[in-house]
Amino acid sequence: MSEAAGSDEARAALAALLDELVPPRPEADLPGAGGLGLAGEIERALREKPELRAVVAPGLETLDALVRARGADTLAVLAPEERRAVLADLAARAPALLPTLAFVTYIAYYQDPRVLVALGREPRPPFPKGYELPPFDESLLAKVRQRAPFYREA
Amino acid sequence: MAEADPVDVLIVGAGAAGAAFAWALAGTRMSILCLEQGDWMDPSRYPSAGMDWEIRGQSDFALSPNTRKLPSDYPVNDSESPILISNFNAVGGSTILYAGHFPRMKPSDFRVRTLDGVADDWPIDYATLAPYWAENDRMMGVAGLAGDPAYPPKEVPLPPVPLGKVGEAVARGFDRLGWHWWPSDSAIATRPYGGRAPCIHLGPCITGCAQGAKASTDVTYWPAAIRRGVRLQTRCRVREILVRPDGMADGVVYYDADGVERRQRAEIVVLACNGVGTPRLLLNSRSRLFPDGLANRSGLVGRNLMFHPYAMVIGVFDEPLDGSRGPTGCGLWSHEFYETDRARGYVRGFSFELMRGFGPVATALWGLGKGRMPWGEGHHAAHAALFDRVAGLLAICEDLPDPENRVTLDPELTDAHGIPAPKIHYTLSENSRRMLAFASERAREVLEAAGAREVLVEAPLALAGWHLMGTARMGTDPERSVVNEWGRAHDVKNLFIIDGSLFVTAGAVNPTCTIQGLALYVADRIQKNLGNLFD
Repeated sequence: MSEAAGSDEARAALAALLDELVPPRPEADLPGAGGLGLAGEIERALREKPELRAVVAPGLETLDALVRARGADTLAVLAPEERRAVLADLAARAPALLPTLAFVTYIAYYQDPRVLVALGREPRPPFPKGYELPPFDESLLAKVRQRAPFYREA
Repeated sequence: MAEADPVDVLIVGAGAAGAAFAWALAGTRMSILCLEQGDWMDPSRYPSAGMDWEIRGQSDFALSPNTRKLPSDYPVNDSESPILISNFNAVGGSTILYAGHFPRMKPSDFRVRTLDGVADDWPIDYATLAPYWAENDRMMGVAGLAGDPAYPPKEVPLPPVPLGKVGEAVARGFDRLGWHWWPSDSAIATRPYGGRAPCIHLGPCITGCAQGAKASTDVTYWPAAIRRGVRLQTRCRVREILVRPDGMADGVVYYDADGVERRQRAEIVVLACNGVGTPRLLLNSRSRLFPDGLANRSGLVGRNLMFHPYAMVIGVFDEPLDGSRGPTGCGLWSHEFYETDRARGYVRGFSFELMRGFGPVATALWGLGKGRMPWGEGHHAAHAALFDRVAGLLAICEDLPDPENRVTLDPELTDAHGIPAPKIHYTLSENSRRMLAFASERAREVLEAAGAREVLVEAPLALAGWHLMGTARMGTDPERSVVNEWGRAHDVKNLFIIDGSLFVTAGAVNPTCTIQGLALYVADRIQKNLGNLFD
C-alpha cells in the first residue's frame, strides 16, 4: 500500500473507491463495499498477497493524484460524472488496479453476512448444519429405463 | 544412517491405492508399514466449516501443489503443459480433494487396440477387476443405482445422491435429446455407513468433507487397516528406493518428520505415489544396476502420461437452480458418447458428469474471469444474472497414450529436501482436440435443451490434471511395459506398483475406483502367489 496506508485518510480513500466498484443497491438491501467497512479487511488481504499489493499500492497513488488534480481530497466528494471521469482516467493510467481490486473486493464482499442475507442466503458456513435436498426421484428415469444396454462387449 | 527393523511390506503413499492395498494385506501375518509424506487431516479445519469456504480452494486447499506450497507438498514443473497437475499429500492422498465421482471403466476400455486399433490392450479385463470393484465399493461406501444400461449389471451399496433442481434440469435436457443419463456412482455416504455420517449436502466436496460422508481413505480404509495391525508413519518423504547387489529392492531412504535421513529395509516395496510421484521416485532411484532409474530397462518409466482432457461447459438459466448445495461433482453422468464412432472425427470417447453451480464468491470470480462481472453500476445486475442460475457439464475425454507425454526429473527444481521435482512434458493430441470440440457442442445442446439461455465453454480446462495415469504401465512384454499383469516390476521382482501409473489406457471416466480395484487385485495376487512371489 502507499506510505499512508492504514491511516484514516487512506482507508477513507480506499472505501470511496470500493463503493465505486460495488456500489450500494438500497432497493435490494445490498450495501456498497466501502460502506460495508471492507477497506480494512482488504488492506489486510493485500498485506498477505504482496503480488497484488504491488499492483494496488501505486494504483491508489495514481487515484489520489487524479482526485487532487480536481481540487478534492477524496473521490467521495466529487460529483457522479466527475467520479466516472476519474475512474476512466484511472483505468487508462493504472490498467491493472481495478481488476485486481475487484478480485479482492468480491471475495470479501460476498462472504459478508449482511450481503448473504440480502441475497437470500443464511449467513453461515455450510458445515455443520448442511442443507436439505429431496432424495433422488427414480421416476425421472422412466425414459432412460426403456433403453437396452448399449455398452460395448469386449 | 538411522535404521529401524526391516518390515515385510513397505508401502510408499497413503492415498487411494496405498490405503486399499494396506487393508487388503492386513489380514496376513506380514508386517506392513506405510510411509506418507503428508499428515492426518483435521476435518474440523476443512473450508466448509468457515465463512471463507469458497476461497480456501485458492490457497491451502488449492488443487495445485504449486499454489498450496504446504510443507507436505513437492513442487511440480508443469509450466509447459496445457493441463496442470492436481494432487494432495496427506493420509488419504488426493481422495481428500476429489469429488468422489466413482464410475468404473468399461469392458471396451481394456481392449482398445483390438476394438479400435489404437493404443494397447490391457493384460487384464473387466471381469478380472469386477470382484475387486465390488469389494472396493463396499469398503468406500458407494452411492448409486443399479440398472444403468451403459454398464454390465452391478450392484451399488447406497442410494444415489440427490439431483436437486440443478441436476433435474440437466436430466431433462438429456431426456429431451433422447440421450443417456444415469445417477452417478458416488463415493459419498447417503446414509450412515461404516461409522460415517451421511451427506448433508454441504457443497464443496473438493476441499475436503467436514461431515466425513465423502469416502476419502483416511475415513474408510485406513482406520480398518490400522486396527488390523498396519503401521502408518506420516510426514515421511521417501527419496529413493535402494537396490541389493542381486537387483532386488532393499527398502527406501526417507526423511522423517524432523528431517532426519533414515533407511527402511523391506522384503517387498510397493509404490502408491500416483502417476507423477511414482515415476519421479523410480527415476530418482538410479544405481549401477539401474542407471536410468529403477525398473526402467524398458525406458518407459514416466512415459505415456495420460490425463483426462476436460471441457467445462456452463449454461446460464433464468430460473434459480440452487446449485451450490449438494455434492459438487456428483449427481449424474451420461455415457451417450463413450464408445468409438469414427464419423465423429476422432477415436474413443468421453463421458459427461454434472457440475453443480457456484456460491456467491465463486460466481463473482468466475464472472470476473469471463469478463461478465463488471464493477460499478452494472455489478449487482450481473451478479444476480449468474448467481444460482448456472448448471455445468464436464466432458471427460479419453486421452491416448503417447510416449512423448512424460514425467522426467527437473534438472533444477527440487522439494524442501532437495529431491528433484517432477517435470511434465505434455502436448494435447489432435484426437483430444477434436473430441473436446465435439463434446463441447454436445454439452451445449444438452444445456440448451435444459433451458439455458446462454452457454459458455472452456476447453481444455487447465486446472484439471486430476487423473494421472500410464507412467509405469502394466503388460506382459517387458519391452513394452514396466510391470506385469499383476503390478510386479519386470526388472525388480519384489517391487510392485499399484497406482494410476499402471493404466494402459485411460478410459473416459474418473479413475479412482479402478486404481483402488487394481490395488486390491494386486494385493490378492500377492497373497495367492506368496510361495513363488519372486520367481
